[in-house]
Amino acid sequence: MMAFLDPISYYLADKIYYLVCTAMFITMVGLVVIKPSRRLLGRIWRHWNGRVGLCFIAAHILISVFGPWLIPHDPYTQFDLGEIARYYPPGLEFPLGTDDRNRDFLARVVSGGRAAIAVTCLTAILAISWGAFAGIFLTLMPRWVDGVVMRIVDALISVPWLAFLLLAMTLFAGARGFSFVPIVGFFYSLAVLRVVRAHATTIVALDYVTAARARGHRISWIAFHEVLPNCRDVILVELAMRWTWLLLAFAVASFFGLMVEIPAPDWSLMIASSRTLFLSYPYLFWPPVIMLSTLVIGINFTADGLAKAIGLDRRAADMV
Amino acid sequence: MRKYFLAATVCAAMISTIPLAMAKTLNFAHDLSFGAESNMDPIDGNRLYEAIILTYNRLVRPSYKTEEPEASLATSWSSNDKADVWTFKLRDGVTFHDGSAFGPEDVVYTFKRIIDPNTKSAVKAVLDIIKDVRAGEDNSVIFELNSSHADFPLLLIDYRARIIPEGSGDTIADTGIGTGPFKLKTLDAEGISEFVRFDDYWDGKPQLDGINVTAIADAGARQQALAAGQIDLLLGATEEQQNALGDGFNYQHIPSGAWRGIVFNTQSEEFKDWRVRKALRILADREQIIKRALGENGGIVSCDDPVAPTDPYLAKIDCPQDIEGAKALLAEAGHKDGLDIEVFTAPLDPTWAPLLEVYQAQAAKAGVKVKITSVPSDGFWNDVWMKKSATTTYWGGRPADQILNEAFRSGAKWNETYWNVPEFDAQLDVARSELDPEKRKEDYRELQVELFEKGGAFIPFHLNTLRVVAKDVTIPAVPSAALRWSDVTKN
Repeated sequence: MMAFLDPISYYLADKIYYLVCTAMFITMVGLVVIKPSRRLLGRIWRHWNGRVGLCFIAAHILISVFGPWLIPHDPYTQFDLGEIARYYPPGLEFPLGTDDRNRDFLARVVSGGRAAIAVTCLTAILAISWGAFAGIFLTLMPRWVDGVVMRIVDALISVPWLAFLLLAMTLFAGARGFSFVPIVGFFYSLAVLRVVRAHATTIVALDYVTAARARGHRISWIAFHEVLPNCRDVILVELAMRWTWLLLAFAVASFFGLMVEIPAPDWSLMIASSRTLFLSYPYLFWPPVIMLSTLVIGINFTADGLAKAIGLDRRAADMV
Repeated sequence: MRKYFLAATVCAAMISTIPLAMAKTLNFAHDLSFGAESNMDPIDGNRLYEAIILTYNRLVRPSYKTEEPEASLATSWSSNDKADVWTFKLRDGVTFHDGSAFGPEDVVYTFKRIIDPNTKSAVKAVLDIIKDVRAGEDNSVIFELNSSHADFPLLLIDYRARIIPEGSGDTIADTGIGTGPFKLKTLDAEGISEFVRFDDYWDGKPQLDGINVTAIADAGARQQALAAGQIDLLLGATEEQQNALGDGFNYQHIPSGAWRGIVFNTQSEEFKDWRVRKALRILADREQIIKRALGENGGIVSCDDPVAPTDPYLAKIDCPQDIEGAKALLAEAGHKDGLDIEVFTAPLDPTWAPLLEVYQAQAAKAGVKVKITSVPSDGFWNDVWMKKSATTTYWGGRPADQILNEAFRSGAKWNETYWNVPEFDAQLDVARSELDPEKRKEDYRELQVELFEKGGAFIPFHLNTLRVVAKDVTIPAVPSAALRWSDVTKN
């Protein structure tokens, strides 16, 4: 089922990445321009972690949108530089030197987040939408349905997603990258389901939901018109939070060589291959580390700021 | 006050004894790949390699320069005209570590144990050619073979074919009693195993007082242990480790005979045309692959020749990069507009990914688009290798006859290119039973040239082992299986 994605997966990831970046860029501009959202941004900006997060994210968006235009080399070319077959030292031509295959390392660092950002963005959206809807609907179902489903969810939550990912990779040899989306998306949605369900339970007990039921509305109408709007804050924060964790999950899988096909650039893969070099060639080790961690920290801090701005306590949400 | 004085005395005593105790004890590490199962039985699957090379001897050993046999526990050898009965004259006056005398009965016992189907001997596959072994006259042993083999002594060089005392099969895994330069003092596969000098060693008294072999599973930790002076050498290291360790050590690049490559299934639809296979091989710049994938002295160019660079039967073949030739061959075979291929690999071996990345860039110049597909390591050997039409592969060093038969004879279990040429098989038999060394060499040469012309294995290089040695240690720059540990010194 996933194997058909295989030959075009990196190509697809590239396109999705540009879509994501452009969307984020437009959102960024939009947020600043539109007044109510500017107020929200202002409230996020009030918290120091929101401030740091927003700066990191803005920097990442600018680098990914404009970076490839500013760098003269592409990340795949293996340069023939006379005597030096690899590890060309940093200089004017190659600001971060060349890597173990004599490719421009700066170009690779700048484009090293593509697969990770594209794939985890899709996964986060999948996990949130399926987890949120299931969570809301469960609260409106008869109690015994809720009970049975939640016990199944508890059982599934104890299964490590990495094991399933490995299984899928063996079954569909070569279906990498995108097999991450349905598999990890499903497992992460379970946690979302629990959080959203916990929040929705408090809403379902309120009078206006009882009134809607008494009016004879169908469950789906109540879910979309009464419960969902009141869960929006939680879902928004969940989306941002899960995305950072998904980035980490992707990095873990990629570190073991399970995600991105060589020779495509990927931060985590770069870290994996240069971790033994960090004493002899520190400039080949730290840039991808900094890029990956600033992105994760950026999104996480923004989620933190967002939660505080809209009056949610993340620690309470985490405990559910 | 007395307490402090005591502590200070103990400290002083410890400091003063450390240099003395370590003065002539060599320390090195093994990677714990067999865990606590590791033992001293040379033919066991879990043999502790770093230990069995210290305590036992073979009948013959490789010479320091090539893989030709040289006298060890056997002093001379000869065969009948058909080369299927071999007589080995044994060395006189050799004793085992427990003081018992070495004689023909020990050799007979060792080899009967090796070919016994009940011992699960890992070396049986190599020495299956032995039909019977018995004691001969005048301190000698006689091997009867199932078929002629002019290079039978080469087979006895196998690093596992080591002589143990008669009747010791049940205890050898713990005792480690052999005739080697060092004897086992304590065996602790997960900690430090200690070996001490065997004063009655037949090849002269060993230079070192003892050797400690420590289990350090992680490559980075071994590097740190060397940098901190806890161990004196790394048997295998990478160019990156060399850069990190710097000038304080001596570096030896030792031809290993091991190779890495890409194998194309010669029976598959895509690669059944020999012109396609040859094009895919001659488009490569092998020097560049070595420099860019392994590092400056990482390997020795091979022209798709599985025979090791130190092997006396190595054929001299020239294989410069030939993009135009490759293009022409591809056009002839009907791929005028280039060719798309998919190569399967896994993160099993650290040299595969670099090799493929460089090969991919070189192939693009000849219009060949290489798609690299990596699968998890677990299923690679069972589900991908020899199942997909193009995969990566690795082989350890073997004598010419052995590697050609194991990897290229039709029907062989590991004939990974599905090379199926009856004339090739016939010539393998001819070469093996040819008694004239010059003619035999020519026979093997023709086989290797045939593989370069039409074969399915792309073998760009044979690996060099990088050995890192502390400055105060002298150790001959030869493979560890050929090393005579009695020659190693430490100041």
